[in-house]
Amino acid sequence: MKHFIILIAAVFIGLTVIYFQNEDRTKKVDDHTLRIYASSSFIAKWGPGPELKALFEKQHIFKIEFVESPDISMTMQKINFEGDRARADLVLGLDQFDIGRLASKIKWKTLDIAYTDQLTDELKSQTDSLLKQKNFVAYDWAPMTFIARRDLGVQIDSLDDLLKPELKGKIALQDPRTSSPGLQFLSWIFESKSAQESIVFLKALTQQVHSFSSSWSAAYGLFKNKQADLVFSYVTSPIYHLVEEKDDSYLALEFKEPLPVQIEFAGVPDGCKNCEGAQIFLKFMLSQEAQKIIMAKNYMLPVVAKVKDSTPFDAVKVFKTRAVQFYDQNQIEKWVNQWSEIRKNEGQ
Amino acid sequence: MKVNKLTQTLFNQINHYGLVLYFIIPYILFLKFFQIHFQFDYRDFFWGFKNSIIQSGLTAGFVTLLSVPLSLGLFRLSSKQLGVVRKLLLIPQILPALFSILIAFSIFKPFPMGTIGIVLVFSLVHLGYSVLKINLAIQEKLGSSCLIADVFGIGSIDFYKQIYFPLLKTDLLTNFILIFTFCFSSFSIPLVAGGGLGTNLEVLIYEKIFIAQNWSTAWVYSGIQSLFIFFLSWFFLRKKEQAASSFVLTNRLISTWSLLFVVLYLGFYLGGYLWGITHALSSLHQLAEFYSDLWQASWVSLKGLMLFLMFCFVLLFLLIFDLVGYRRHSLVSHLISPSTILVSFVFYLLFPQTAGFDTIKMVLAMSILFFPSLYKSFIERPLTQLQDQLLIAEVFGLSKMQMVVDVVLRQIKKPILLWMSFLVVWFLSDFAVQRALGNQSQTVGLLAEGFLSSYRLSLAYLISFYILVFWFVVVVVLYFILEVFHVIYKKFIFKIR
Repeated sequence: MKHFIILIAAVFIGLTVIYFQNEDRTKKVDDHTLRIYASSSFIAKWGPGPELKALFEKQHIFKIEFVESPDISMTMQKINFEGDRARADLVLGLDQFDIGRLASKIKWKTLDIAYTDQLTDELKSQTDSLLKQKNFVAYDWAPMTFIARRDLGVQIDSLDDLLKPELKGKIALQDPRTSSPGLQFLSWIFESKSAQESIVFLKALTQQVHSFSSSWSAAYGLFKNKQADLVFSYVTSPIYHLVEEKDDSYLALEFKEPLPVQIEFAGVPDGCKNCEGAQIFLKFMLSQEAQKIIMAKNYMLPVVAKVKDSTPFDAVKVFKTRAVQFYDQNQIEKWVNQWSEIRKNEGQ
Repeated sequence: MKVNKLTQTLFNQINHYGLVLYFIIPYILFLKFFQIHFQFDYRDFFWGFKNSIIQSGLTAGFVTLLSVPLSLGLFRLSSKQLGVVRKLLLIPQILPALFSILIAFSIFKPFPMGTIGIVLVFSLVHLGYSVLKINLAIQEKLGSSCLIADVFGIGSIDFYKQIYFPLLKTDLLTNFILIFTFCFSSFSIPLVAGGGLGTNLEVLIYEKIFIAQNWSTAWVYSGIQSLFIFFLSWFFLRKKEQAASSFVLTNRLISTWSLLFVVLYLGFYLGGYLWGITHALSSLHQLAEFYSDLWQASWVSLKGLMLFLMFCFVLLFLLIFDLVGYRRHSLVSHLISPSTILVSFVFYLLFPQTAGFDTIKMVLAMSILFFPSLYKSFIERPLTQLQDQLLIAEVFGLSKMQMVVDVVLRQIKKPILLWMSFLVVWFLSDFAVQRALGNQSQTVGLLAEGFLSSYRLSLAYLISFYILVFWFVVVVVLYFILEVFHVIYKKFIFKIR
């Protein structure tokens, strides 16, 4: 009995020692370390993170430590709860909806980075919207539309065409409660139609769609698996198939309604420890070299002019796009609740 | 002497209550971060609750009903074949849920998203386990009744009405409740196969935490969900074991058609998986780029796994001690389906988000999430069957340590191995818990998920196969370690005593 109690005590003491040793180690982060929160796809081997890190560390004295963010909402909550103890110098991967819904959870540094004069021609029209964001800097973007295979055989020019009987059960969408592209689609409908028309359209559409998947990748997986003929995605998606799979059978559809635009932003939390490094990294992200890496690895368009010249991205048709909007939480909640009500009344 | 007894009593008390406290600690820790205001949206809650009940109830009913005829197919097999088929039948429960979803998507085109789709995937995952359970129950409970029914010329309908169902009703109900609880708090299958429909309670908890950031409601929903499952387990899964009588197999219980359906089911499931693997082999060269990541991920997984197993063994030891002391199972055995989202989120907030803390987070969260259900599935029953022996041992004045080591552990080696092998594969293949924990170090499970979510499907299949091989090797090594330990114990320590 005595030995057993000693064994158990030893295991718990061991775990406690490991805990405090690790905690001690986390405190010993030197001033040159830059802690950047980013999504797993950004810091994965196939994402832009590793190349950006290597290039930045070669040019500057700072060392980058990427922290994988499981979900932007979780990251905001974590930084918020940790308060002064938080070690977040930079947060990447916020879009317009995250800024509207989540950014208010923590305080952000006002950024003094003038970049709007370098914007690509397509983004020039969005300058006013971007200038209003004093705490966030855009680093990539892409309009969103439906992607189809070239052999689709159904003419689609407008949102109403999505209700064609030939497309019943063939459209893969994202759940706006869990996915940012899902919210983009919802906002596209509500912004393109009147409130009443939107509700009627959504009711008809929910009968029409194959599914509302929990994430963009799940919806795109259904499309790739030929479970669906259309998927809501980025205009750059066909380029991915062309470059990675040498497959040119996918195309992005043009709509008479201007397309919604997703822009990815970076921000520096007010509690940053290496705030100077964070600002330097942000400026670096807007350099031609870094923008090229982000474009090639993230399959998104660069925000800075001339980066995509003479690359496959030069051929991407941007179509007519909507002005970027930053919706407040109430507006987003209202749309999502309306969508949820329609889904609930539809069956389950 | 008196001090020693006092220490023992104190240890027993701490052990008894400490164990329960450990498994409900996430719910208590949640209060450290959030102040609970009892907001309760009845309409919202009952919507999710109703969906959970429908999905789990339909699955449990369908799978249990189907298992009654299918379990007879296993009697057509020789004991060697049966050994192989039994292992194959457990694979759907072993593989990560995402692979079952992919297999279902490749079988059913177009896949019926929503409740039907969720029930289909759930059924695909649990049917093998259920067939096996019912088959074992028949062997345990029917004894020689089939022979007697044959001698008296009882017809099939009367046999099932008057012998089969009365004798097996507890096992069928247990099977129903077990599958019901497995499905009730499931997260990834309703989320992906639901396609926006069929939001169950666990998905609702996820929405409350991550989207609405309404933590109070999430805590209340999660608490009710856990209590509901606790009471289900308490009322229905505490059956008294009757001694198994020797089983006599007659032609009545042998069905070739059933075997055909079992083979068809395995063919669909494993065939779908093997088809994915075969296709993925052409992408084997792409894996070369990730060898160093794979090596590193394997090492991280192995280190975490060793600590996880050690910790689970300590918990098992403590639970057996508790059983020996109190002569009844701890409440822990009913805490079988805590909310994955809530448990992971609490540990995510509690620990710093650095690689150094990943192992601790994984060990704590996964032990709370996996241990009770696996304990209930594999260890509880053999332990219950040893109750009489423990009573005799106590009468003969054996110490508790002797009872645990010499009476219990020596006799439940096989269930422990099975329990351990599930712990190993669930730990290795998990990515959902690790993602929610905000882990920074790459494990083999996370590597597979990374490939899946970035459309490197072939690589994901290859890694999943690697996980199965990894699991097999680890289990074989652990088996030998246990065997060696057993021999050393018998030859030396036991003699010294």
